[in-house]
Amino acid sequence: MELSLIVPVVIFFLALGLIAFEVLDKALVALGGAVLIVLLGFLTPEQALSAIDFETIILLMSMMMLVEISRTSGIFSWLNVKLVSITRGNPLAIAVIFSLITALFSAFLDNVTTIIIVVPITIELFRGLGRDPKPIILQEILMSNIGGALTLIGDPTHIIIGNAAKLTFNEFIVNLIVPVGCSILALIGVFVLFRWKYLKPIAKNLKTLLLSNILIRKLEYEFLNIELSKPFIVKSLAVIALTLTGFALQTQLGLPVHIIGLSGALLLAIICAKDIHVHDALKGVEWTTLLFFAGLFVMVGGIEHTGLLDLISKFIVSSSSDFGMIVMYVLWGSAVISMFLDNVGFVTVMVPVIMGMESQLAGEPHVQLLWWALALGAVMGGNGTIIGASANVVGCDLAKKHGAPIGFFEYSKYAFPTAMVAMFICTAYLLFRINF
Amino acid sequence: MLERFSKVMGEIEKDLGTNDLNVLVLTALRDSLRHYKGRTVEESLSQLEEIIHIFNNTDPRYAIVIYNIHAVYKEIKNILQKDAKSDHPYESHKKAIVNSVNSLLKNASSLRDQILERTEALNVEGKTILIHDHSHTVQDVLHRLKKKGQKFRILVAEQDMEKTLRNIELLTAHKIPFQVVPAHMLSNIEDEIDMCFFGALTLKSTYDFVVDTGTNAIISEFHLQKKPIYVFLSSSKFSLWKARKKETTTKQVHTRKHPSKKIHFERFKFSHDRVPLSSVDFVITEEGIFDSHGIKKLYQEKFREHEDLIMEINGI
Repeated sequence: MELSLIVPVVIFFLALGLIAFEVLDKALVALGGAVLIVLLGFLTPEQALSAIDFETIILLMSMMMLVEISRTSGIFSWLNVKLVSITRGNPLAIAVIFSLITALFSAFLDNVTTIIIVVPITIELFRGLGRDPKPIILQEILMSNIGGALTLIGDPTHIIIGNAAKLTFNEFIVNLIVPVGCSILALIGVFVLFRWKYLKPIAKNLKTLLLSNILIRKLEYEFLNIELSKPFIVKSLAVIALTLTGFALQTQLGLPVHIIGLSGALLLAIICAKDIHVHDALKGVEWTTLLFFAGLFVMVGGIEHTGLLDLISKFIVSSSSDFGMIVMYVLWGSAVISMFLDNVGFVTVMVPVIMGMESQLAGEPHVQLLWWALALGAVMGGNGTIIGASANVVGCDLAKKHGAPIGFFEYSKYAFPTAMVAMFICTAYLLFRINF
Repeated sequence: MLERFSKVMGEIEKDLGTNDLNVLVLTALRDSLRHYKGRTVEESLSQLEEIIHIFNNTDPRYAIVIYNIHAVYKEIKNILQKDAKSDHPYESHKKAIVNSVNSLLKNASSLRDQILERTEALNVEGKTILIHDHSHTVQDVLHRLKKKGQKFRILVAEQDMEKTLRNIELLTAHKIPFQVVPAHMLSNIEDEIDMCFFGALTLKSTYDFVVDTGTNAIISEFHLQKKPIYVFLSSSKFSLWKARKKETTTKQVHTRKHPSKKIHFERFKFSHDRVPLSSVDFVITEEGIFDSHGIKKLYQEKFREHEDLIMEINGI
C-alpha cells in the first residue's frame, strides 16, 4: 500500500487515540492533525479550507448561541422545578416525567446543556430523599442521547449527516420518530421494571412524603430565586418557536438550515441585547468544539483525497448482495465503533463512505435508509459506554461532583444492555422499512 | 431519616432564616397531608408522632417548627375526640386536618405583621442603623418604618457575601439608602452608628440568643459603646426546652490552599453565634417591646404553656 494512502489514516487514528485518552484538548489535536495534513502536502491550503463544512459549523454555533441566551432567561430551570412540583415528590412520577423531559429537551437543545439543566435538580431531590441518585442520572444520560436522535439539531452527528445528505428537519423527525419514540418508551419501561423498589410510591409514608415536599419547596427557592424577566422569557420562547417553525418549513422557505439557525440566534441576540450582553452569549458557544470540527473535516478531507473512503464504500457494498444486510452493517458497525470512539469523528468519516455507497446502490428504492442507519447507530451506540458521547462524560462528571461517582464498568453495566434494547428496536424498524 | 431532615432544614434555615423555614415546613406538611394515602386518622397520627420525634432531635432544633408540629398533632387529636365513631377514615377527615395546617400558616404570617405593628413605636428619624444578619424580619421592619415616613440610613456590616448581597438586594428593592462596611472595620465608624438591629434564630432557656456568626462580636462591641441594641424575634421561636450549652453551634473544618503558594491550612467555619440576653437592650416580639427582665418573664410564661401542651398531648 502506498505511503500517501497510509499517512493521512495514521494521522487521523492517532488524533482519535489522543482524544480518547485525553492527552490534549480535542480541538488542539484535531487542528494539529489538520495542519499536519496540509504541511505534508496531502491537501493544499485551499483544499483544506474547502473540506471544512461551514454549514455544519455555523448551524452548531447558532444553536449554541440560541440555547445559551434562552438558558440565561431561566426558563428551563423554571420549567424543571415546576414539573418537580407536579410530581408531588412521587419518585415514579419524577423518573417518568424527567425521562420524558430530558428526551424532549435533548431533541431541541444540545444534549450537554440538557444534562446540565436536568441532572443537578434530580440529584438534589433523590439524594435528599436518601436514595442513590446514580440510577436516575444514568437514565437521564441515556434519555438525552436518545432524545437527541430525533431531530436534525438534536445531536452534532445529525447536523453533519443532515448537511451532507441534504436531509431536512422534517425528514429527520418523520423517519426517526418511530425508533426514537419506541426506544424512549422501552427504556422507561425497563427502568420502572428493574428499579421498582427504588421508585415505589411514598404516599402512604407521611415522613418520606414530608421530606420530599420540603425538598421540592427548597428546590423551588433555590432554582427560582433568580429574578425571572417575563419579557426575556417570552422573547426566548418566541424566537425558539420561530426558529423551529423555520426548520419545519425549510423546503417552502428554500433556505438552508444553517441560515435559519443563524437568523434565529442573531434575532434573539439583538432583541435580548439589554438582557444579556453579546459577549456573554458568545461565551456559551463552545469554540473549542467548533475548532475540533474544523480540524476533523480537514483530516477526513485528507483521507478522502487518497480515495480510501471510496474503497471502503465499495468493499461494504460488495460484501453482501442483500441490501438489508448492508444497512445492518452500517447500523451495527456505527453503534460498535461509536461506543469506543468519538461518534462525531466516526460520522465525519462515514459521510463520504455512505455517499459512495449511495452512488453504487443507485436504483435501490430504500437507499436513504443508509443515512438513518448511520444516524441511529452513531447515537444509540454512543449510549453504550461512558466515553461514547459528550453527554455521558458530562453527566458522570456532574454525578462525581455531587458525590456519586459513576465508573466505566458501572456505567456500562446498566447502559450497555439498555443501549442494546434501543439498538434492537432500531434494527426491527429498519428491517421493517426495507421489507414493507 | 433524622440526619436527612437535619441537613435539609439546616440548609434552608441558613439561606432563608427561621421564619421562612417554618412557613416552608408548614406548607410542605400541608401538601403532604393533602396527598397522604393512609387509611385512618390514627395511622396519620402515629406517623406524625415519628415526625415530632425527628423534629425534637434535629441538630439544631427549630423551636418554631417543633411548636407548630405539636399544634398540628393536637388539632388532629381534637378532631378524633370530636368524632365519636369508632373508625376514622383519613379521607373523610382530610379537609379538617389540612385546614388546621392552613390556619397555622395564616398565624405564621400574622405573627410577622404583629411584630411590624409593634415596631411602629420606634423613632429612627435621622438615625444611622447598623444591620448584619440577613433577617427577613429586620428587613420587613426597615421597610415598614420607611413606609411610615421615617428617614434613616442603614450601614450593612459585611459578612458571608451571599447574605450581604441578599441584604443589599432587599434594601435596594425597598429604596432604603445604605452603605456597606466590612464587619472587622466597624470600629472606625462606631460614632456614626445610633442603633443596631438584629434578627435571631431563637432564645434558649439559658437566655442566650442564637444568631448569625459574627453577630456576637458586633453586639459585644456596640454594647460596650452603649449603643442601643434591638433584637426582633417572635415568641414562637423561643426554644421551650432545657438547653445544653453546647447545642446549636456546629463547626466545619475545611482544608484551604494558599492562592499563590504551596501552603495548605485548616479553616474553621461555625454555623451560629450565641449572644447573652444581658448584651441586648430591647427585644421586640409580637407581644410588645421588652427589656431583658420583661423578656425573661415572657419566656417563662411560654415555657409553662408549652409544657402544658406537651402534657395534654401525652394525656398526662
